Amino acid sequence: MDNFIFPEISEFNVTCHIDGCENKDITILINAVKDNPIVICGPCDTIIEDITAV
Amino acid sequence: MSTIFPGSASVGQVFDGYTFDGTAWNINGIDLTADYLESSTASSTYLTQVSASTTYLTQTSASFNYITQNSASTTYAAKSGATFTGNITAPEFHATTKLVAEAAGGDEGGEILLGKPATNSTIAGAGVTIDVYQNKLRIFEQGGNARGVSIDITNTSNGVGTELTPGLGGVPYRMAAGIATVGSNSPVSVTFPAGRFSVAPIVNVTGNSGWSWISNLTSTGVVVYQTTSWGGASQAGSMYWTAVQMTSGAAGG
Repeated sequence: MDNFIFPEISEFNVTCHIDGCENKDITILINAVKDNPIVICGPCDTIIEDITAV
Repeated sequence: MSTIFPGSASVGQVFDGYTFDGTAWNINGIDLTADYLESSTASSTYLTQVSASTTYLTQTSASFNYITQNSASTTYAAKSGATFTGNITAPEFHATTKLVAEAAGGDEGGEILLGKPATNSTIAGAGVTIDVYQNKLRIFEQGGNARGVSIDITNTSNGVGTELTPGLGGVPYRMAAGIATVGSNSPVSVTFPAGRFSVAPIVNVTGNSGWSWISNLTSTGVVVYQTTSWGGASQAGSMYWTAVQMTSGAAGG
């Protein structure tokens, strides 16, 4: 198994839309992997689908 | 009411709202030796006692209605169930047992407004309001963006068991925690609760296997991942993270 190479990071605006989540409909600027970013909403532990590159 | 009293009567005899004291007929409920009403001007209506008693009500101005005490007595306006309309203005107001601010109606409960200082204050509006709104006890500025704090009483412990500042020292200013599921060769970013941290907090991460890592930490989030070993291959798993900001201006403390 190859050693892990940390990917390039970019900034994204992400918005969680889960009902009841503390971050619901609040856009947050965050660092994430540039290609195929995966962002998890901290308060509700749900993958955020609304991601826009800055 | 009859205006003719019996020609003869015994002490204590009651007749049509009056009681005979051996000399005269007194109106029931009023002690003519201590309590009486007097009006000394025609400009206003008032209740006063001008004897040497230490307790009395008086109005000394016709401009508005109020209650005052001119003597050194500490007790006055002792009327059970008294209802006032308008404002009561006094240098101090003392309630011997409790002060009750009745519910305003709807979602709004009782409310107290504390005036803001005349100088060196950037509080918006007239001052700071303490009130009850739905389930929350709120303390906030009465204007601007209504900056303030609230406590949801329904989230606190029975027996007034939730202590806001335990006094033990070292209580964090802000915290957050959660679980992030990461995939192989795909670090994930985790957003903190919006506005929770004012600086990048201190983050601890524990994975369910291998080595746990973080990178690109800011006040809004962090990137987490884990590898099989130091510099080894990335692997999937659950990442348990905790973020702490100890003071309002610094992560550590």
